[in-house]
Amino acid sequence: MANSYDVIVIGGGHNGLVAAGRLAKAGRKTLLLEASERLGGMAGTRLLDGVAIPAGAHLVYALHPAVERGLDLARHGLAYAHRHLPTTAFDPAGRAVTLDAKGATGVSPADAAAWAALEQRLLRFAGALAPLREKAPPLLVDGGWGDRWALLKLGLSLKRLGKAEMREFLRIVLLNAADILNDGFEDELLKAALAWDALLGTHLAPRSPGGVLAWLYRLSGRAGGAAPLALPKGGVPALIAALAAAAKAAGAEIRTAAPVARVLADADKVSGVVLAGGEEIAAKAILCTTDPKRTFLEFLGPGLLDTGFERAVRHIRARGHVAKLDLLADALPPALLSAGAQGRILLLESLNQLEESFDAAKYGDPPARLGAELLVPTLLDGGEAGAWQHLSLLLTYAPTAPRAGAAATREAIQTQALALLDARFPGTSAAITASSLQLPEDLAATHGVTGGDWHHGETTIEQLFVLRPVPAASRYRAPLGGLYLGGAGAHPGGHVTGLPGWNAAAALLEDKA
Amino acid sequence: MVSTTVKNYDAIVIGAGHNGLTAAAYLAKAGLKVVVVEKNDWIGGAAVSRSLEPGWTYSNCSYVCSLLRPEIARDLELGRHGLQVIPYEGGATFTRDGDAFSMFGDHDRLYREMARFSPRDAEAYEDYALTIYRQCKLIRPLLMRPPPDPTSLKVRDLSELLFILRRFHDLGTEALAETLRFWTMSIGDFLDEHFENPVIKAHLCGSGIIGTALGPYSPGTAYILLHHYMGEVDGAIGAWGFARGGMGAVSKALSLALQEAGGEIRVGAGVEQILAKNGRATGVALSDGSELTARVVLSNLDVKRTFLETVEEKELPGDFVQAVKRFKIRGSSGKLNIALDGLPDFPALAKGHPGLRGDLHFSDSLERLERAYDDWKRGTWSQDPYCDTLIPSQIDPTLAPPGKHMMTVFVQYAPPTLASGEPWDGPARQAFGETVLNQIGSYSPNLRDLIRHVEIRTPWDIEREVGLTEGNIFQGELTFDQLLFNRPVPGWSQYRMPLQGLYLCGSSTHPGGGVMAAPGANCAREVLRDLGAKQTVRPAA
Repeated sequence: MANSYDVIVIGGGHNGLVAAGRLAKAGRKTLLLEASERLGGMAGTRLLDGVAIPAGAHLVYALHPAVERGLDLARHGLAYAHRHLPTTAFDPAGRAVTLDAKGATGVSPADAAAWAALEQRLLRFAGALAPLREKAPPLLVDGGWGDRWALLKLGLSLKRLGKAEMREFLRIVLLNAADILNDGFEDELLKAALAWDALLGTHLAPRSPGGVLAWLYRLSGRAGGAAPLALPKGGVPALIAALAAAAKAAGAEIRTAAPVARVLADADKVSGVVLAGGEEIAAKAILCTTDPKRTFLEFLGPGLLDTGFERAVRHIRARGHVAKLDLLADALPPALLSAGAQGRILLLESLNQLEESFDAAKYGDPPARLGAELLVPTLLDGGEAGAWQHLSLLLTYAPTAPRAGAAATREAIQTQALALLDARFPGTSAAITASSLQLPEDLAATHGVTGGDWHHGETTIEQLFVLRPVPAASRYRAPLGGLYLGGAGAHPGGHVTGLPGWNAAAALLEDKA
Repeated sequence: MVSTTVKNYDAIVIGAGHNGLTAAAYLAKAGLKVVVVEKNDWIGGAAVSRSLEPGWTYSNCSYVCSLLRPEIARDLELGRHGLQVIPYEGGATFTRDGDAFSMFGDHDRLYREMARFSPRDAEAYEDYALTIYRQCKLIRPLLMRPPPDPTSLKVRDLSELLFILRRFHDLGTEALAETLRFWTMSIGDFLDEHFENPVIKAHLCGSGIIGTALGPYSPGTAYILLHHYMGEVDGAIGAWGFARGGMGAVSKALSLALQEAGGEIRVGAGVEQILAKNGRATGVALSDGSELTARVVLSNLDVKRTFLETVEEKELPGDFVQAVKRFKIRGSSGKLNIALDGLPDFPALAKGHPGLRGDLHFSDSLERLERAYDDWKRGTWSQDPYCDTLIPSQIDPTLAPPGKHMMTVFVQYAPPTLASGEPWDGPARQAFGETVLNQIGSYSPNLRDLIRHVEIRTPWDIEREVGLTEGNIFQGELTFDQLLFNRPVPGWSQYRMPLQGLYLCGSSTHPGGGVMAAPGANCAREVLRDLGAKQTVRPAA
């Protein structure tokens, strides 16, 4: 082989870039391989009508401070336009509820107080879990002293909550979101807006047990010091640019348009990769940030795995349920311009609406009443005002496996989303010059992410901590020497946290692999 | 005119359900003076045999037996008091294309039948059954112990907690991972991991949803399946049987054990209020105006009925009342009892087919079960309901005249109140019954001709007669937020309640519902500890 590296990082999404940066900083000769032309994956950019727009993620709400500091991202160009963007939820009658750093407004005083109390409580609980995210999850049995120490610390941090709060934590940790919201609040729109943040991107409806854990999971980023709802200057792709700059500055080599076909192994240890074009590149270790199903079933193939492990990998559940609609518009209605400049917009009705749309999507049908999150990044990201605006919408629940076929489902969802926009901001659809709707399966095809799930595996309890992505590979180490998992499928999971890549790089360095 | 009769007891048990009777029997065996007060004119709560059509015996609510803890049956000598449980085998799920998948007790026959639907699934069944069996073995020792309070540093709590942690720890890495997944995942996902054939999956799914307001794909339902498998008949773990003479036989045997030990039962004696003085329960006021006093009061009522209807709110801490209010008791099921003039035909199975002697189902895919649940969420009964249908008179001839039969149908899902606002006790009840009869009738053409009498029980009827809030058979959902140390209220899971001298002994407490009697026995153990009386409830093995 012509060229040889200490480590090959597969995948140029944010976790791949984070891992490459950390490894290169530690002095490893690192090569990052990205299949597509652009870096960033779901947090990168794509072209719509010749204009570069964010490919998937339009906000960052959990980038871990250790990653930000460790890679010195500020020096490499990361700056925030907003760290805690306000959210305004509108119901069909036009009533508005606003959620921001100060709490909830537009709701009854009782609900506002209840949210202030619940938010504090959830942040406390999330804070107790937050340290778990920063390391490999501790083994429950057969662990070393480090594992026992980590478990003890978790136990102590729960004890420190106090008796009453620890009881409440143990009660709600696996509860569904609807119960905690219905028990605490009267305002349907507020409940729906809170459920939106708790459940977006999961295969959980308000009534599904485990919803509160998904919520705590998302909040644990913020409890650990991450900006709650952040928009980098220049949008999410600016974060990718900063990560790439940091990795390169540390000495990592980055190749785009270099899809990996297979991982090569030699006597139970990886030896390199073969690219789709046939080129072989040797490496002592491989850190893979693609989702675990692709990693094991495509790049490794059954020959290198034992049957029990392969079966466990096939059983990983990954159903995204979020469709992405991008619109370019030339002259937006003034109401939308002013609401869009305030922050994030949610178009929602009620918990029942979300439940019913989940019920349709779970059978593969487009729901009758979608919920929508709308961001107009061009109004918020601090860039130059151009002749056009970009409307970025997340729509849920969208079917992962549409029964009626992708084309019909895309059309049904797009029609509904435009009607939703026009109902709240009349005249919006008339201003649209280009549009693109991506179903979960489109996101899967474009970014190679099973089920279009940005978590690379649903964040339900049976796929978290030591069970993530599968019990036998839960600590970033695959059952093949020199192979590490650093994508969102690894602990602690999805969202733009950078932690799986960061922690996986640490595991690799710790092993001196 | 108010009667002022005051009678004095060591213990008063409110409600003659199986848990109340069990607790009372253990207390009486310890030499305490015990009375059970029951609002109905009969005993048994949801385990009652009765005749609404002369010659036929119906079990009012619960209809099969398995969970009853064998150690309790031995302690109270329920066999000697007439309880006989006859195991049944078989069972079938009828498919829309006119076929039926049957279960057999015989291993080889079951294998062949499964292979007829999917050779791969026939191979997978062994592994599936082994997984369930392992989980049963893990959980069974926890049933007859008080759940530890994980926030407490008391020696007893710590040692109980250690007992549980050690059991989990001893599983080893791999089995522990399997256990954590199993206890938290949905039964649908679990079955999808093991099997490919929709009919086999649907047949096995029932135990994961019976009694709960969750669907096959709701996380946590694999645990519900475990809850239905942790019982046994004659030592056969996971087996189910019929109580000879209907489920009232369980209540009757318990009452005989109680009376033999010197306990008293008063029927037609509804409790108006639990009396309290200086933060202590002192007795009960009955609806006839009389009062009974006692050192301790045990309530077999569910936690909501006990604290929101029979204890004055001022006697309780405010946060406790709040916690009771948010306790989730969700009615999700109804019941039909049917007197038949003969054995109905099910053309998919030959007459006398052993499958017909077990539980019959008419939902042949998980999607149909999930859609049945979706209807419940929308506030209506399932239009394509899940029916756990049995004809116990084939095995227990005492239930119907010779040549005649009795059919019992457990129906899911049915909401406690209808979103349409219609009351249950009108045309809605009839329409619900029709939906069920249509479901079964489409697989049994002569069913309707054989019907002599049908009793239709909606969640509303069950609540009104039995006193189970919302008609929920488990006295509270079996989700993690309401299990173990969370049941019924975090911090109050060890049967003692914030009002001193008042204990909860029903299915609202650990380990939950089903005719298991473990809550009653566990509660009696705590009462006897507190009173310093002779311990008649054996320490858990």
